[in-house]
This record gives sequence, C-alpha cells and structure tokens, in this order.
Amino acid sequence: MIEARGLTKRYGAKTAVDDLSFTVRPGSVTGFLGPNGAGKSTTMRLLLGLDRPTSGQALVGGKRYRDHRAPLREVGALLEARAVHPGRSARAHLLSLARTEGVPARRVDEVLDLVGLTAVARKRVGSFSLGMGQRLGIATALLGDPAVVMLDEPVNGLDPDGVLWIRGLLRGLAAEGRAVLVSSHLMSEMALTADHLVVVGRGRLLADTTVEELVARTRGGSVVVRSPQAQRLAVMLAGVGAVARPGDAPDLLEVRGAEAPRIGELAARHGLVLHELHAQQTSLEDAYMTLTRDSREYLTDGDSPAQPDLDAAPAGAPR
Amino acid sequence: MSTTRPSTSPAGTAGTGSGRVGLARVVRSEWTKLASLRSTWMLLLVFVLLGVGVATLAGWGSAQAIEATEAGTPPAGGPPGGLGREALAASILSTTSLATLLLGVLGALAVSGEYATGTMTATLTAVPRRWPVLVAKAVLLALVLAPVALVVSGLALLAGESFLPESASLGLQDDGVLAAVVAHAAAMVVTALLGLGLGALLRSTAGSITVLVVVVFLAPGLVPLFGVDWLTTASQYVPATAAGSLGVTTGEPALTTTEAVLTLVGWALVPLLAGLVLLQRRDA
Ligand SMILES: Nc1ncnc2c1ncn2[C@@H]1O[C@H](COP(=O)(O)OP(=O)(O)O)[C@@H](O)[C@H]1O
Ligand SMILES: [Mg+2]
Repeated sequence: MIEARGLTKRYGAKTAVDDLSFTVRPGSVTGFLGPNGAGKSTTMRLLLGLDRPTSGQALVGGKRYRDHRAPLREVGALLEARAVHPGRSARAHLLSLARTEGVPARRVDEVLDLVGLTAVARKRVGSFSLGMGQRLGIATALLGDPAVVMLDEPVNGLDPDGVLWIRGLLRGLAAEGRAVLVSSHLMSEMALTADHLVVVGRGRLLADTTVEELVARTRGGSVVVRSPQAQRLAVMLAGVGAVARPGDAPDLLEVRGAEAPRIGELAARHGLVLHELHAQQTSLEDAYMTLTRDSREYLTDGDSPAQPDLDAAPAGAPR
Repeated sequence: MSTTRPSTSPAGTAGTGSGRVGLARVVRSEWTKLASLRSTWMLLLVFVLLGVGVATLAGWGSAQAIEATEAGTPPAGGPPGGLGREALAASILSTTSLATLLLGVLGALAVSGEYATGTMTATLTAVPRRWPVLVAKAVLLALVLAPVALVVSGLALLAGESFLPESASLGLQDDGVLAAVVAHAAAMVVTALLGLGLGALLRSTAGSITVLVVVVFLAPGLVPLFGVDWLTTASQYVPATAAGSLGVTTGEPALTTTEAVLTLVGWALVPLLAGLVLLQRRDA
C-alpha cells in the first residue's frame, strides 16, 4: 500500500511534483502515467525517501519509508536502469544489498534466476546490454520479496520478449497480493498491464481512475460529419452550442459538444444533406493524449492550481 | 528463463531470512562492495609497491650520498651530510606520502564512485536511515587499512634502512622508530578517512582528489614557500607533518605530540562528520 498525500517537490523555482495525492492498493497493478518530465520519477524518489518533499507526506505500508527497519522487505524499487557500478558483478551487487538485511545468498541466486541472468551473474555489469541492466534492476527490486513493488519505466530498453515477460511478471506480482506501481510515458503499455491508472502532467494529478473509466470519460469527444453544406451546418451547430471545426477536406467537420443523433436530427430539420456521420472512436491512446495535451497547453477548468508554473504554456489556448 | 509467472511465494513469506538493518550488517554489505571491485585491489597493490618502493629508493640514495661523503672525508665515522641516523629514518618514512595519497583516493572512491555510477540510490534505498552507510564505510576502511598501512610503513622503513651502513641505520627496536612507523601508518588511515569524508561532502571523485593532493601533498611542501607566517604555521597542521612530528624526526618536531595526535584525529573526523550531516540532510 502506497499513499501519497499532498506531495509537493520543488527544485528551486521548478515544481516537479505539485500537491499530488493517490493511493496504490495491494493486489493490483497501478500504472503511473505521464509525459516525460511529468514528475513520475521524482514522486518515486519521494516515496523512497531519497528526496525530501517540500510539503506533503509519502507513506509506504503505513509508515514513512525511512522508518521501516527492514525496508527491502517492504518495498522493492527499480529507479534508474543500470545504476550499478560497472566494475561489479551482478551477483556482488545484489549480495551487497542483501547483506544489509541478512537476506541469504540463496535468495540472490533465486532472483537472478527469476530474471534470467544466472548465466552472467558473475560477469561485470559494465558489459551488460540495456535490457540486461533492466533485468538486474528488476532482480534488485524483488530481492527482499517486498509487499510493494515500484518500477520506473521498466520496459525501456527491453526487446519484445522482455516486454512480454515484464507484463506477466507484473500481473503475477499483483496476483500474489502485492501493491505494484509501474510508471510509463506510454499508454499502450499500461493499457495491457494496469488495472488502475494514475495520470500526471506537470507534476499534477490529471486522473486517478480505471482504464475503462478513462476511456468512457473521453468518449463522445467528437463526431465526424461530411456534408456538401458543411458551412451552413457549422452555423446551425454553433446555434445549439456545439463547436464545428473544419476538417481536412472542405466538406468535412469535426464536431464537439453534440452527439451524432442530435447532429443528424438538426440537419434533417434544416434540410441539409449528410454524406457521413459517425462518432470518433476514442482509443485509450487518444484519451491519454487528450488528457496530457490539456495539461501541457492549458489548464483544465475544474482544477486550476494554486500557483501557475513560470514556464507554463502558450497563452490564448482555446476553452 | 522467461517464465511469465514469477516463482516467488506470496508477499513477504519467501525465504529471505529475517533481519533489520543494523550497523554490523551494513559493514558486511560495504565489505562486499569494496572487495568486489578490481580497482580496490589494484589501488592496494600500487599502494604497497609505491610505499615500499619509494622508501627503498630513498634509502639507496642516502647510502650513495654517505659513500660519496666518506670518500671525500675519510674518517667520517658518523652520519653523512649533516643528517643524523634518526633524521635519515624519518626522511625515509616521509617518502610514503605519495602512497598515502592513494589511500585517500580509495576512501574518496568509496563514496564518490557510488554517486558517479548511481549505486548510491540502491544503497540508500536499502539503508534509508543513511548514516550507517558512511559510518560502516569508515569502520571498514579503518579495519582493512590499518594492518596494511602498518605493514607498508614498517616495510618502507626496513627496506630504506637496509641500504645504509650500520653506523647510519636504525632498526624498529631503536628509540622512537616504532612510534614513527605507527604514526605514518596512522596518517595513511587518516588520509583514507579524509578521502571518504571529502567524497561524502563533494560527491565528486575529481573534486575530492584535488583537495587531497593539496592537503596531503602540496600544503606541507609548497605553502611555506609563500613566506606568509600564519600560512606557514597553518600548513603544519596536516597529516604528513603531524606524522613527521612523532617518534624520530628530521629536526625539531614541528608539532607537539598532543598537537600532532589532534591534527591526525581532526583530519580523519571533521570532514567525515560534516559529510555525515550533509548525507542526512541533502536529497540523495
Ligand atoms: N534534481 C533535480 N533538480 C532540478 N530539477 C529536477 C530534478 N529532478 C527532476 N527535475 C525536474 O522535475 C521535473 C520532473 O522530472 P521527473 O520526475 O524526472 O519526470 P518524469 O519521470 O515524469 O519524466 C522535470 O522537469 C525535471 O527536469
Ligand atoms: Mg522518469
């Protein structure tokens, strides 16, 4: 169980994490999503006590991480891939960490086997590929058989086999009753593994939801209309409060603020010809892009922040 | 490999032993780290060779000088070139300062190497209270290096003395010789701890080595050349001069025994304590 409560971290003038609150529950995989620079890694560092929050609280298993007396058993984390001395062997690296809590050497060999590094256990890490480094990071995270697993962009640098393997691993860890937090900047990856999503942008919480809910929330976004009288239809639509943007062709409109049936009825009432009318299918990827684009370019109406970022977004964005 | 099911047992029940993080465990962990790097053993090897080697050359050089002096002034009988046998012993020991520098580098790398490679993240995740990490590194360095330093200091003296004629040489059993050997060994361990403290303060290998070179090497020899009185006085409070003031000396000791001991302890502990405070306070 991970609880972030009003977490805020500023580096000088830069606010990396801004009043972030969320919970990661045992038995499920929580995807931590956001574009690069959204504050995912910083949040994980705050959760692990590596960086001190400017304000707010980070609790793991009900306590601050540094108050745990056997922390590796509580939380296993992969932060930076290959953050290992290149001159040390994978086994020695794991063994040195295992020693801090009296974890037996047998467990080191077990996790090496689990991630498929047994054959190179005694090779120097400097000779590892990015994917092997990533596997070593995962072995490190699993070393203490922790109740909470936290992985920062674990699929980076893995080949397709490795990506599949990680998915299975994460599902398995959650099925065993662990709380799993995995960050990614790719929705496509999270859609396949996560039960729950915590989406951040510019350090702020954008969504704390399930995959299904997120799609539902963004569905019905826009309707594509093709009509030889597109100009007139656009005026009619404006009259009922919908927004029609011209599409790629002169007879194309992209309509927001009105569902497809209403648009059809409106056109019929005014005797306008329609050649095409369909709701834009929202993929999870679109939902995510919409969500994070909003956070990058302008602020969503509901949750305007206490203090806007200095380097915030271009002015005059619509809405 | 590549089983999709992780073969771990339900959360928290696998055979991972049961243990809280304690200082003794962290010392073991640090030993695993130190011993698993080739650079540790290389540095120690070069330290031994350089420490004994330079002293050997110094002894041989002194012997040559004595011979030349004796050839010029036949009934010399006594030590050459105005240097007494005690001063000869002290000057042989003082040549170990080059090797001592290497132990400073070893100490600095123990921390700065972790920052450079990112290992510190894993280390502090395993030991989130942090201070045991630096304390364990200090304890470990002192334990491992003390015997090595004693052997190198002793061998350096014996190797250097072995070239000198009997009339000009001293052995470990002579007054003040053992004390000087121990003092130089102490300066070596102190320098390693100084390097460790600097590594924790500066988090940079290059920065730490720069300060080490200045303190260990340049300050004692160079600062007096500026001719500024208070600077010259200040420059005596360094590990090398402190070690040179204990036991047999090249002249009047620069520091009293108390001053010398405090100087050694100070260089070992003050940077280390400052590093400890910063380690607790700073973001990792
Ligand atoms: N130590 C630091 N000093 C200054 N800025 C930082 C530091 N760490 C992160 N940042 C900034 O904070 C923001 C969030 O970074 P990060 O947490 O790494 O994002 P993410 O992991 O989501 O890509 C970025 O703008 C980054 O430049
Ligand atoms: Mg990141």
